[in-house]
Formats: sequence, C-alpha cells, structure tokens
Amino acid sequence: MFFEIFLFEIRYRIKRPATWIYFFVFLLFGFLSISTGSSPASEKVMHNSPWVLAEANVLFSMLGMLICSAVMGVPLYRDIEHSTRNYFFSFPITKGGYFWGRFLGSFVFVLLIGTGFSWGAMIGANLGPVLGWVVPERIGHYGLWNYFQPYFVFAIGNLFLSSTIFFALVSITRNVKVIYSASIFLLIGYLLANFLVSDLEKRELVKLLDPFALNTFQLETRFFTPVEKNTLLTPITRVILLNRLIWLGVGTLIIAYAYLRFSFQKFLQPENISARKAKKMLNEEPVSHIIKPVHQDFSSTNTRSIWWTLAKLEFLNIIKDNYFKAILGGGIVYLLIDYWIGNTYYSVPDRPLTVFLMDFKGYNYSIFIFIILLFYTGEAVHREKTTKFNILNDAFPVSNIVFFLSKLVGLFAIAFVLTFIPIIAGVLVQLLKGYTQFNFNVYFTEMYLLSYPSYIQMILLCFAVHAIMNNKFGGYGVAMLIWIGMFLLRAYGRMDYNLFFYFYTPDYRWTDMNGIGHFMEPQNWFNFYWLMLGALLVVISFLFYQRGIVGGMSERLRVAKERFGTWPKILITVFFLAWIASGAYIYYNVSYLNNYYTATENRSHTALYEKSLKKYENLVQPKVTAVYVKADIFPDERKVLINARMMIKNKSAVPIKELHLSADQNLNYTILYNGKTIAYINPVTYPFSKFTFFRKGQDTLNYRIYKLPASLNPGDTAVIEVNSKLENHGFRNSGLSRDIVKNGTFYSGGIPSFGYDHSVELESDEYRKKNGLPVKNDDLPLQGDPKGVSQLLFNDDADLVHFEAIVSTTKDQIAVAPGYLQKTWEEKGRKYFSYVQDTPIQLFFSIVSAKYEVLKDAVTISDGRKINIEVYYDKQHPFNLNRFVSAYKDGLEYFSKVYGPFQFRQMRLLEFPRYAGFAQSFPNTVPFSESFAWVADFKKPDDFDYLYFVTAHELAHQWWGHQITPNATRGSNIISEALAEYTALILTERKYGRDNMKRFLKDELDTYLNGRGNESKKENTFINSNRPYEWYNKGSLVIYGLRDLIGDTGVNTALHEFRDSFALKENPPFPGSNDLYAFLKKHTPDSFQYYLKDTWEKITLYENKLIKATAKSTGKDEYDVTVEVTANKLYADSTGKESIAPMKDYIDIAIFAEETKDKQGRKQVNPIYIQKYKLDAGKHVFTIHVKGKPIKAGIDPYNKLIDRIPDDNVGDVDIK
Amino acid sequence: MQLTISGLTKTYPNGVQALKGIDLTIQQGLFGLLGPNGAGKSSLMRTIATLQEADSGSIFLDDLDVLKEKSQVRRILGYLPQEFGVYPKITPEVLLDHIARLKGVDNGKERKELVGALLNRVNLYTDRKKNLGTFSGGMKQRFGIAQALIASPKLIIVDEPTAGLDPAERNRFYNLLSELGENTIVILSTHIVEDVRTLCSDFAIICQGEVLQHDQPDDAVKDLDGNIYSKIITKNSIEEYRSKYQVISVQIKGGNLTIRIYAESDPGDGFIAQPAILEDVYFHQISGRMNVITL
Repeated sequence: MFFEIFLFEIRYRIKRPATWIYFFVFLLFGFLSISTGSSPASEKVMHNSPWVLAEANVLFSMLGMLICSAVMGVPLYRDIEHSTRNYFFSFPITKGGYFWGRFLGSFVFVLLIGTGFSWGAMIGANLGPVLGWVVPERIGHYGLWNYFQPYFVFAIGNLFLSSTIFFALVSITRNVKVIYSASIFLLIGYLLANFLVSDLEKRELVKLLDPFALNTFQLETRFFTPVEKNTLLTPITRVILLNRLIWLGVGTLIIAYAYLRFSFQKFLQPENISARKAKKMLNEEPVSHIIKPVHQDFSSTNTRSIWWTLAKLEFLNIIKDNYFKAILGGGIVYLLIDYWIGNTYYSVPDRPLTVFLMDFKGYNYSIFIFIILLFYTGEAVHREKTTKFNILNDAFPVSNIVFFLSKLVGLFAIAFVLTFIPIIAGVLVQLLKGYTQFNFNVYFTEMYLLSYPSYIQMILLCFAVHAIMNNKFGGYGVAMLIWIGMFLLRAYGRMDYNLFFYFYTPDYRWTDMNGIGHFMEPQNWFNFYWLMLGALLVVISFLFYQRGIVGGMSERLRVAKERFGTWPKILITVFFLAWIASGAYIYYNVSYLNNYYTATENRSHTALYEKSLKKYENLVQPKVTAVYVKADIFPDERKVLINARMMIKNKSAVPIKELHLSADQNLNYTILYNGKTIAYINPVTYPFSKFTFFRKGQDTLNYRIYKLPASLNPGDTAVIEVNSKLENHGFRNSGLSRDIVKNGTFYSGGIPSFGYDHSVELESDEYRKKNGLPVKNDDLPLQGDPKGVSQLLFNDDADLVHFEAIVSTTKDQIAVAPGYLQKTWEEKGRKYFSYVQDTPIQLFFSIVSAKYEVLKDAVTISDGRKINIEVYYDKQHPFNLNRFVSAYKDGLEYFSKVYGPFQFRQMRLLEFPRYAGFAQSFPNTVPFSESFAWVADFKKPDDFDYLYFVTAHELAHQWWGHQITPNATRGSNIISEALAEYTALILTERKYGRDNMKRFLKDELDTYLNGRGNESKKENTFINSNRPYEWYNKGSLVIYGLRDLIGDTGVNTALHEFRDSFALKENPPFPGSNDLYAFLKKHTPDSFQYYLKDTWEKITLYENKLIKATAKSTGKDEYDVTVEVTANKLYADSTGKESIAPMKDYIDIAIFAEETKDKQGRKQVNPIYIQKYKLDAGKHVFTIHVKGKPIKAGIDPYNKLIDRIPDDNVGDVDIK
Repeated sequence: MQLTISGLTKTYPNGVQALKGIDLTIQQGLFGLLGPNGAGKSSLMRTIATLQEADSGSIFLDDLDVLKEKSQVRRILGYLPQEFGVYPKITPEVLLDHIARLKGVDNGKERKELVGALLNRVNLYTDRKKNLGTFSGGMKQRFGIAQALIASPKLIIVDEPTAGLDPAERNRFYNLLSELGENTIVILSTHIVEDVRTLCSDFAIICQGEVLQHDQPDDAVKDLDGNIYSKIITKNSIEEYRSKYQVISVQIKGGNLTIRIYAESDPGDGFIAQPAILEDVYFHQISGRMNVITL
C-alpha cells in the first residue's frame, strides 16, 4: 500500500510545474552566483570553493523553508481541498501507508529541489569562465563531491526539519493556510533569534541550538583563511555533528508525534468553521413581502458616493484580513526591535534620533511593506474573481472607472496606514527611551514626501500588471519577475542607472545637522518621474481592464480601442509628456551636468590613468614649503572658492621642467606661476559615457602638464597661486556628494596635487586583469629605500609646511581650519576667520564650517603649558561633551609625559554630518562624525567607552602621525596607526584597569582574524603591514603584548627615544616601521626577542586552549586548582597556509575568583592567580594553590596573544 | 418592449464556436430557453447580460444597443448566472444592501425595506444574519434570485434558476417570476422542459449555437399532435427500432423500456398513439442534431 501511495505522490509531483520552477529557481541562484562571480568570496577565494558552497547551502536550505511549506503542505491537504477525503478513505488503505507514502513521496521532491543550488553552482563553475562572465582564476577545479558534500552535511537536515514541521502542522490542524503564516513566522522567528543571540558570550550554546546551523557554520569557520576556504571541505566538527544530530532528532520526533496523532476519523471530520459562530435567531419582526418600487439614482453625485463606499470597502477588506494583520504584525515587531536596538557601536546604543529611525524603517519593515503591497494589490484587483462574485458584480450598473479607481484608492489608503506606523512606533520607542526631540518634521517629510510616493509607485505598477495580466498568479509572477529582474540586474549586472530602474531613486541620508539637505530635490524629481510612469501604466491597464468573461487577445484589443476615448487620450498624453519631460530633466542632471559613468567605465578610466601616466610616477616634482589659503565657503549654494598661494622649492638634485597637476574631476581651477599664467596640456581623454547619447567628443581627465617657462633648478623656489572653484550642479545618479553642504561642510580638497598618484590605481587584481593591467602587490618600496624615506606617506607634495588660512562663510556659521585663530571679522554680510599655524605641519588640512556651539576648556600638561581644548558641536548633541574633554585632558597629560612634548597650544574636536562615519586627525583639529559617539547613550556601567578610546586614538595621532611623520616605505603606517591604537589602549587601560582589558583586546583580535580571513591578496608580516587590520588591530595587540613582557618602562622608553629621534623633522629621511622596530628591539631583553621576531617578522598564531580545570578544597577558603591546558604555535605564510612551529614561549596561566562590581557598578575581573609560564608545545598540567574560591581558570585569559580560537581559553573551574 | 437579437456569433479563443448567428425576437413576458449542455444558452445569456463581447451581430432592447451601451443596460438588468460566488464572511443582508447600493438605490431606508422584502420572498429572512459561507447550495441559489430582483429590473436573465431548489422552493420561485408584471422581459433557461410549458409564453430551442425552433409552447406541441407513438420494447431490440423509425426518446417507465417515435401516420407494429408533450418537441428538434438517447 505504501508504495502505491508513494508512487502516486511522485507521479503527481513530477507533473506539477511548481516543482520544477522551485528547482530551477535554486539552480538559477547557484548558476548565477558562480558563473557571474557574484558569490561573497573575497578575491583569493574561489567562487566555487567548499566554504562558499557550504555557506550557500546552509543559507538556501534555511530559506528552503518557504519551499518546504509549499511542497509539504499540500499532500494531505489535497484530500481536504478537493473533497477526495470523502471517498478516498473508503479505499482499503492503511494509515501508515497513507501518511508515510504522502510524506516521503513529497519529501523526495524537497530533497531534489534542495540539490538545485549545487547543480546550478556546478554548471555555473563550468560555463562561467567559458562565457567570459567570470575570470577563470576564480574558479577552482573541484570534483562532484565538493558541490554536494555541504548538501549532505547541512541541507538535508535543514530540509528535513522544515518538512516535518509543515507536514505535521497540516496533519494536525487540517488547514493549509496555517502553513503559509507559519513559514513566514518561522523565518521571522529564526532571523530574530539570530539577532538576539548575537552576544559574544553564548556562542557555544548558539552553535548547538541553531536549528539550521547557520551560526554553527559561520562561527566554526569564521577565521578561515583563503587557503582554508579553498581547500577544506566543511569540517564535520564535534559541534556540527552534535547540532545535526539534535535537529534530525527533533525532526523525527515531530513527524513521529504527527503520525501517532493522525487518524482517518479525525481527518474526515469537517472543519465546521462557523457552526459555533452561528448567531442566535433574532426575534422576527414583521417585514413586508411586497417588493416596493425603489428610486434609482445614477447621478454623478451618487456615483462619487458609490465610488467612495467601494474604496472604503476595499480598504476595510484588506485591513480586516488576518494575513494582512499577521504580515503587518511581523513588520511592526521588526520595526520596534530595529528601533529599539538602534545603532550600536561596540554594543553601545545610540540615542533614538529620528534621523536614525528613518534608516531603520528602510530595513526589515520595508520587506514586509513590499510583501503587503505586492500581495494585496493582486488581491484587490482580483477580489471579485477569486470568489466568483465577479459574475454578479460585473453586471451591476457601476462604471469601469468607479470599480477601477475605488480599488486603487483603497490601496492608497492602505499605503497611508503603512507610512503612519513607523511614525507612531518611532515616537513610542523614543518616549519609552525618554528621548523627546521628536523632530516631527523629519518623520513627516520622510514618510509622506519620500516613502509614500514610492509605495504608490509600487502599487501603480503592480496594479497595472494585474489588470493587464487578468490572472492573479500570472500577475504575481510578472510583478515578482520585474522586481527580481531589477534586483538581479543591479546586483549581478552591476547596473545602477536609476533612471532605468522603476522605483529607484538616488541615495539620500538624513542628518541632524543638515536635515534632508540637498537630497530633497533629486528625490522629488525621481519620485515624480516614476509616479508619472506608474500613472501612465495604470491608465493603459485601464483600457485592458477586463470586465465579465475573459475573451481572446484580439477581443481585448478591440475593447481597449473602444475605451480609448477622450479622457484616456488626455491622461495618457499628459502622463507620458510629464514622464518624458521629468526623465529628460533628470537625464540632463545626471548624465550631462554630472557626467555619469558606469562602474565599469570608471574602472576603465582608472586603468587608462595608470596606463598613460604611470611613467610619470617617479618624475621629480617640487615640494611645497608654505601655503596661504583663502577659502570662501557658500554653504547655501554648495560652492567653495579657494585661493591658495603655495611656495614651492626644488628639493631634488635635478632641474624640474614640467609641473604635473592632478585634481578631482569636478574641480575647476587656474594657476599662476610666479604671477603669470602658463600653458598646459591634458594628456588623457576618454569617451563620454555610453549613457551620454547626444554628446560627441571626449571627456578630459583633470591631469595637467604645465611646461615651465624656465627650469626650476635644484634649490630654486617659486610661487604657485591656485584659484579653484568647486560647485555642485544639479544632482547625481548616486553618491552623497557631501563635501559642501548647507550645514556641516567638511572639505579637504581644493588644491591640485603634484604628479601621479599610485593610490588611485585599481586595487582588485580581477579588475586589473580585465583592464589589461598587471597584478598589483600593494607594496610600497622596502624600508630604507632612498626615495621612500625622503617622502611622506600622507602627502608627497611637501615635507613640513608653514600654513595660514583665511576662511569665510555665512554669518551664522563658524569656519575652522588647522592653526591658531588670529581674528574674526564681518564683511559684506559674511564672516571671516583667520588661522595661522606657527609651527610646521604636514600638508594635510581640511576646512570645516557649520552652525556650531563651542565648549571651551583647558588643561595644564606636564611641562607646565596650558593647552586650550575646544569642542565644536551641534546644539542638538550636547550629550557626551565631557567625555570628549576628559579623553583630551587625560591623553594630553599622559602622552606628553611619557612620549614627549605636545607640539601645539590647542586641541579641537569638530562635529560633522553623518554622511561619513569616521573621525580623522588633522593638526590640532579632529573632525568627528555626528553618528559616532556624539549621540551614544552610555548608560550601563559596563558599556565599552569607545568614545574615550577613539578620541584618545585621534589625539595620539598628534604624536604618531603629526610629530612622527611616516615615510613612504613598506609598513610605515604602523608608526601612525598601530602606535595611535596602542597608546589609546594604554590610556583606556589606565582608566578601566588592567584586568578589564579583555573586552578591548578581544575586539582587536576578532577584527584582525576576520581581516586576514577575508584577505584578497596576501597577508604581509607586521613590519611590512599594508592593511588596516594589520596597522590597527594586530598592531595594538602586538605592542600591547610586548609591553606585557618587557613592562611599561621598556616600551615607553623605546617610544620616547623613537619620537625624539624623528619628531617634526622638516627634512628627510623620515621614519618607517624599521626605525620603530629598531628602538623596540633595543629595549627588549634577549629572552623576549623571540616574541618580537614572531610578531614583527613572521605571521604567528597560537592555539591555546583550556582542557579542564578542577579544584579541591584544602581548608577554609583555600583550594588546590588543577589546570589542564594545551599550547601550540603556528607560523602562517602569506596565503594563510600554516605550519607547526617549535615553541618555548611565555604564556599567562590564570585563576579567577567571582566577578564583582566596582563603585561605579562596573564589572570587575578578579584574578587570584596570574603567572607567566614558559611553555613548549602540547599539553600541560598545573596544580596551583590559591586563596579564595576559584570560579574560572585558563590560559592567556585576556587574549594578549594572537590565538586562532580565542573563545576556548577560559572555562569554569569544577570544584570537587 | 422588445429584445431583438440578430446574427449574433461568438467564437471562443479555444476555437469553440458558441453562437452561430442567433436571430431571436423576444417580447415582454417569460421567455424559455431550452437546449442541451453546451448549446450556447449561457453564452447567449451572458452576452445579453453585458458580460461578454460578441464577435458580430447585434442585440437591441427597443432602441438601446445592448452591445454598445452596456451601462444603460446594466441599470435595468437583473441577472442570475448559472454559477456565481459570494463573499463567505458577510451576511446576505449586508451583501444585498451593498448590491442595492451599487444598483443606484441611494436611499438607505428604501434599501432596508427592499432587502427585507426580497429576503422574505426567497424565504431567507430567518437566515439573514448567517454568513453566506454557511449557506447550502439551495440557499445560495435563493440569494442569487433575490439579488437579481433588486430595483425592479426590466430585463431579467436567469440561467438555470431552479437548479438545486427543492420542489417547494421551485414553486415559490415560479410564483415570484409570474408576478413580475407585464413590463418585464424575463429570459429563463432550464433543463426542465415542462416548466417552460407551464410558465412561458414563448420559448426557443437552441443547439450547437443555433436556434432550432422559436415558438409558443402550445403551438409547438399542437404541431406534433398525432405524430407521437410509443411502445414497450426489450433492451436488445433498440438498435433495430432505431434503424426503422425516427426515435425521439427511450425511457424507462414503471420498470419497462418505453420507446417514443415520431411518425407521420400510425406505424402499427404494436405502437400506441400518444398525446404530444413539449418534451417531444424538444427531443424531436435536437435528435436530428445529436444522439440524445442515453440508454
């Protein structure tokens, strides 16, 4: 019996188009991600590597939940839906045969569909390179097993779990609709749970309890290097195995339970839905039997009122729908959670600013909106047809236009509700968090001028599609295809020309400082453009709107022709013209005023730059020695005029005949050389974008070669006067163009630079190859290279310079540049500020202008000098000013004491709008992004004080970066970044205590390990660092670890001496990483030299691990603790390949008592024993006598060493 | 008032020719439409009810062009299709009120009275607060009748209205129809031939998209009087009789197989003369077109 039913099920499924559609969708995903090279693999990882395939398999089998619900929901329900149950069960079939036959018959297809991705990936890997969609180097040669191993390890289990859940749900509830909502809720629940357990502490538990093993996989392989990702099949570790067994077991239990509960009798009972609900009979009031004649009104007034009634009805029909409520409910839950958690940096939440909330409503909530609008537009269009009421309805004397418009308006009203929810939810969250700067202006502008039009656009398109298709599922299909098609074109086709993508508009971002700023105009234009197209489509669809019985295509065309009367003609003309006209205007702005280029075109320009100009890389150019800037900022016009007089000098030994100037494409400038104009040529031109249809000729690269009237001989000086103008014409296709804005200008350009700049070269080797360029190894010249040491890393146009600036802006703003304020004055309604930097600085400055409040303070540092501290902030963000000031004060005092004197008399911090999210240290001036720390809500005592840490880091750059000016050789950036990061760690340690540094160190370690895991070329040794994860994260750890061995004095003396040797050198040679290394080496005793060598000259990783810790009480509050650990050291090569290294290294062994809280309520770690041991590789057992109750113990507990798996170093002590 | 259909043709996109040049003139009163399944009855009725386009031909209600001026027609139309759906989660009272609203009855009080009276007439008044989803087939059909009668339509088209009704409800419905006054054209399709005889002043038989006969029931029956004979036969001799005579029906009566034939004069051979009934007219007409004998 089982087999007949099983085979019947198979025959049934095999004929369903849906089965194959699902399969091919998965296949397509697999095919496209590999064949077009769109997998998430970093550049040294193959697109079809085991790791990529495993991750995709886990993810897609989790998402396969939706397919499981569709496939596993029907087999039993079919007999209810088609009423076959009424006789089917009279056949001699057994319960087991029926239940398992149906289950397995369908599950086979779930398994089949699940392989779709792997097949697609395999085909993609073979076809991709042949089709030329992906470079062959990124496709590895792997066997069949590579593609299917992750399917067996992960996907089958996930599909089984989902399948059992859905099959069981139908067999128990006998209702198929429950499945659809269940699958959505399961997905939401899962994503939500993921979100909530993202806490660092519970990783081990998460690995076991993740039903779809997504976290298990990611956590287990998180620090895989490219080599490992390419070569290792998913390791079936103990925890992965356990996880799979647990969830296979759960699936089995679910299906077994459903089987036991299942019985034919129960399954046969009708679902008497409403018997319970039937209302009590009412008292019969006498009602006439006579049908009296009634008055019928077909006036336009009544027509309008009917239209209104129908619209209301449509609206209520949707609002009252349970699935609508469920989906919207899901959206609201997400919205509230997103709002509630908000922005966090280092787990510290920001205050719930309205401008932030407006970002979040665009995340998860918008997915729900999308589903609702897509789904309910179809529902509305086909509402009568679905219930077959249309056959009555369509014969009623209501005109087509009334039916049509009432549905549209009902949907518009739904969209209105959807836009109102984020406002209510936002205000609610703000109130609950005690935040009352609601900024309703932001809420309403965002929701009604930006979001509402886009929702309407979505409705219009879907509506038109459904009306024309006249088939609900066909309509959904086409609508989905349109959105998916656009998504794929943007994601895989890498197209971004918004004018061609319905509903897309340029980027925009709200800021507290600058509001919606200059983004409103393009938003309005684009929204208008899409609304006109939407309206046009809807009018056209009205012509094809089907009433009554569906006829053939020719009949529909005939009807459409008949309907094409005066009004449709007028409307179509108006909408069409408005659409085209607004499109033309946008096109003019994007492609003509702002020269839009595709990403591919931009890359080919960059390649052309390199190909044509690389020959000038070593051309000798003069050095700037002094700069006098006059900058006039016009915030309202988003324009800046700069006049800069630059003293230049030929510091080389050869005469200079040509001046090469290169500047931003948008910068308009002229120069005077010694007071005279001189001629120049532009050596590079390229064709205008292929989107610039009507413009002939060539666009010019802003690189000029000036022939000097007379050679600038060695030692000669000259004056260059630059007059430049940066304007923003119209609007762009994308990008924030944030430099000059109404409130919050932050501009560091305006002056052309000398010669060829290798930093703009194409980075990715894949793109380089496509553009005919050789591989780039990202390495500066070796340390000690004569040219390298004579140039500065940040700007090779100058050594140190004298700097003065006069900056003007509008009356209500303050403009700031590096240097000391000399005077301010007003002239012609503008405000002027004059700054002089009386000691030499690098040619590295920015000008900032905004409506600022200023907090002034001062600190006296060790040499007795008073340093002025100024914080320029927006008046809406006064929350954390004291924290900034205290970081400045602590840092200025401490750094000047231990590393050497501070070179300035002032230190400033300035807020700028969150168009960029960083802080950057200029001489005595630090612009610091609005979104970063200013609005952080440090409430919990244990919150990571990243504000203090980052401010300390930027302050430290005044020493490391501005006094010590790195040269342009390999790894030199570590003397800026690694030292700044390290000294910031030390300052933080002074404030928070040595035993509480794990939080910080762990963060640095995780970032480093992640960084090297995603390395796209090769990992350098530390001394040759060329990546941020090395400069910052490895750097701070390596020096912190050294200090742990040689002590404060050792490191501080080395750094002080290093500073003294190189600080503020006005002439080469400038310092590099080797110079710092030499000083550190000098102050490191022989016994610790191995550590320096390991960390600086090799890539060293430890595998330290606690095996177990037990304790025995030996008296009152005294214990013997046995700690069992293993230690291992590995050396990795630049690709991440590891080899075992011999070791005899110092490593901490520690035992901890209970954590306590200090006076501020901060968590306090309490070691009762911590001692360094010289360990060789392998297992070690220590028995340690301690006072106090041991709670935890471990090896290298604070993660001072670079440990591949930092989580397993510490564990609980088992007290016997 | 008079409905004039001329040269009406319709071919469906799948190639089925549903109407092949229908010509009919329908006067006020009850008009019966007879025909086997798939004859084109429903297609014809839907076309008159403005729900379907015709390929060619015309329909005029007096001067009103039904095919062109659909909205005018809809104002005076009452239509009960053979198959229709309702919103399961609302009550007949609410839905009728809604439909009345759509039919232009803007006065709320009038509407309430009208809905009450209609519900009474179709015997649904006691069930008016139940959701339509809980209705049986017969109840739903009665609801359909009620909605077709809203606002005293001048043109009523009812497609198989008595399907699913028990005999009592059927009678009640016929009473209702016959009350509908002189000024109304009622087009009724049915399988029950005798109903046409009792109800309709005029009728037509259509088959395979063509009108085979258009007549008054009594006249049509009179035409066949004296030409109908019957005989009890055995089952295996059917083919023999069929080859010899123009058989119009084979039926079982009281357990015996009875054959009815059409003959110009008494065929002898044990046949007994029978008075003609409308069913004979029906079978006589369509037997020329298709094999209607199911036994």
